[in-house]
Amino acid sequence: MSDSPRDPQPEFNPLAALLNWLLPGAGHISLGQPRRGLIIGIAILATWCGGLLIGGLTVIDHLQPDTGEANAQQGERQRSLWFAAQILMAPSLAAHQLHVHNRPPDEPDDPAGTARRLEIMPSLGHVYEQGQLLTALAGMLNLLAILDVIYTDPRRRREAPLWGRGGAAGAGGASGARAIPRSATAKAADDAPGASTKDQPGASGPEATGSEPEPPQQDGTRPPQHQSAAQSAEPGADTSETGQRPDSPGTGGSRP
Amino acid sequence: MISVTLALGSVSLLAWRPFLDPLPLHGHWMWLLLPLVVVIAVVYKAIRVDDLSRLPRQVAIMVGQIAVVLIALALLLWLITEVW
Repeated sequence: MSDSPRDPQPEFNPLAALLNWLLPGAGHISLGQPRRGLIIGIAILATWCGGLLIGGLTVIDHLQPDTGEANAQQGERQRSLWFAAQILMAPSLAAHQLHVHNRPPDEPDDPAGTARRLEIMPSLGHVYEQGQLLTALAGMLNLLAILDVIYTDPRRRREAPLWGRGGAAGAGGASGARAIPRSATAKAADDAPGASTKDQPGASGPEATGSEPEPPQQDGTRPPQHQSAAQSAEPGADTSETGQRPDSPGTGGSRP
Repeated sequence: MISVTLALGSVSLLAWRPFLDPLPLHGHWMWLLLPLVVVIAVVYKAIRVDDLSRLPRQVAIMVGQIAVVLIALALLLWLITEVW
């Protein structure tokens, strides 16, 4: 596949990826996708908080829980693979530091240290497993979100920017990019001069295109999208917006 | 201090400290699978769909698909372990 001038390179957004790691959904918001970022952020954070509420802070630990079983490493607890998934979001690191800081000391006779520590009740069994699973799942879902923002297609701006009408500013490139047409009818309408993407199946309405509904023409003629729909005379043309069916041999009837 | 009595198992949360004490859900952990499936569907579809107005429908479809597959797998495993 050769790179033609009409195929822009995908944009690399490391800052958005970092923001997503620090706070799930923040990367999408920074790229001008506020609703998507809020949905993703709330879902991931709810999962993470749910895991901590169920299992407590002890579910985020780089070591496996101490079950009292002897192992080959002289009684040392083995590293937990779940921790690798949990730290895919930064709040897990903060929770882990809080847990490690309040871990019971090796020397029991430390009244001052005992007074400073929070007494974190360890969880066991299914409760521990559920908490560990939910926090690890939140991390892995956050990885999906990070991968979604780290490389973006500048032609596929799916939402209008939250602030202003866009333009050349911002990491997402041209804010006026349309959604990619998904059907021949939509492509024909898109190729027509002055056509808008309002009737395109892939468009999500004015918010996706960042444009207002097309005003009537100055000379009183119909908007080009109606003319192109009539001229194309495709039986499957979407006429829900216009309420008119284009003339075609199969439709029957004739205009007065 | 939170004092809540759950109807499912008469679990008392008196003096429960959020995030410091685990929830006593030893007998009800299976109920957590459904919100887990919903969250997976929400996040995945929120990333994949271009039109967010289609998100609820797509999430419902994916939740149904996951539920059907999980039930089918559970039935298959039950048949393997109990019948055959």
